[in-house]
Amino acid sequence: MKYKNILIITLLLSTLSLVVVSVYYTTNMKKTTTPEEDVVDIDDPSNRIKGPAPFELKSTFALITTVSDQWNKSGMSLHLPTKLSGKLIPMGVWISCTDDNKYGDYGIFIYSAKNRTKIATAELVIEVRPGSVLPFNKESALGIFTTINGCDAYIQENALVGHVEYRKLYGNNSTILCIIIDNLCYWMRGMPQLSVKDMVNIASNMSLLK
Amino acid sequence: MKIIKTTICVIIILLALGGPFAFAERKYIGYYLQKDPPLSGYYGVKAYVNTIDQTVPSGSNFYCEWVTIILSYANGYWIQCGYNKGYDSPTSGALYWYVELMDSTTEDPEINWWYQPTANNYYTYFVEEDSTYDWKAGVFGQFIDYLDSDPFWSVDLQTFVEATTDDIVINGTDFQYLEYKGNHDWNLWDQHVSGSNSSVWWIVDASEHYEWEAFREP
Repeated sequence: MKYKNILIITLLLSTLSLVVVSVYYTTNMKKTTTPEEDVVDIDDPSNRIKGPAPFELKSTFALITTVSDQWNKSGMSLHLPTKLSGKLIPMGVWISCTDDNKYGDYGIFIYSAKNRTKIATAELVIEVRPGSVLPFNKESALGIFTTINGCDAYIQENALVGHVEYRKLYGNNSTILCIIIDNLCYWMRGMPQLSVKDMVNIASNMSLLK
Repeated sequence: MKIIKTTICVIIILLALGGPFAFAERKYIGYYLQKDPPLSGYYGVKAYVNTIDQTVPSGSNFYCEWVTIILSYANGYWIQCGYNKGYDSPTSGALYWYVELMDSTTEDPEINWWYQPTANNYYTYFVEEDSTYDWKAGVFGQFIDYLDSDPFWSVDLQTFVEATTDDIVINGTDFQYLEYKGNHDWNLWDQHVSGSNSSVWWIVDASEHYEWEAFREP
């Protein structure tokens, strides 16, 4: 009898663990894929993309307020969106740590309406790093250079995305909006459903996070 | 008894649902440069790398070893130089050098193949700023590719082994003399973060920051 009880408890715990794993996959990946997308098509050229290792392998997923507190103390004025399109909400920030276990000054902020936390698949990501110039060549870049609220900005529609997982969810293109605010460079990547107007609206309503 | 049967059924169903994801995951092991990127970005990455010649499982599989400059993690933009063995080489299953570029102006990732590394030889792979183009990438003494990119700055450096499956035995992997170009001068890496998503590949720090080896557990 005792043995049977232990067996039942073990099986129930195993089931619980698998349910947790399954829920994770369901919320992060499966909801927006069709059945035929579940298995990667190994003959699809996009699966031959080599590319780098994901940033997530070198970083931790932190609370935005925790990172902004440290950055503010070190003199970095972090501005983040105050008006988001649709049901997007801030999920957190992928950030690496320095040797002395402090957050570095390069982070990727994640926004999603579908509980996505991966850089490749979130609906809106904002890559932030110190910088006072836009990182695009005026002679060769395919987008337009402009200003938003007096800040230098660059907007490119239909910019290709290198993440294979992104391509399977949204297609190959995204909208890039890059803006310089207080010596920080904000690189936003929006899914195709976010129009240029949406992205400009998001960038226009960024304010200092205190 | 009914509870046990139900539990076993649930486990089987969940395993069936999870299976495809495990199949899809690309495997990596290697070093990231830990430093925050300098204001102007990095100007280059370089490494002296052994050429391993291991068996690749049949089907659409490959492994590659490379150095990479990351142009943007948000959009997935990079310049990569390394060698490859697998189904996607110009001659399937053969060792080839390659340079791969993905940026905001490319229709799709551009890959240029170069003929051909010799197994068990070491070569120096580099991606570096150029005076005429934005970048040059290649293998010392073998070939150079010249590239322009948008964005033109870089945010990170990586040296990695990558494969479609970690069934591949990566023994013999040896990256030496990792160097980064900060203010236009080459320096040995003085910080790093190891990264891996494999439970059977292992990395060995051969020096504090600028040499590493990798192998697959037996």
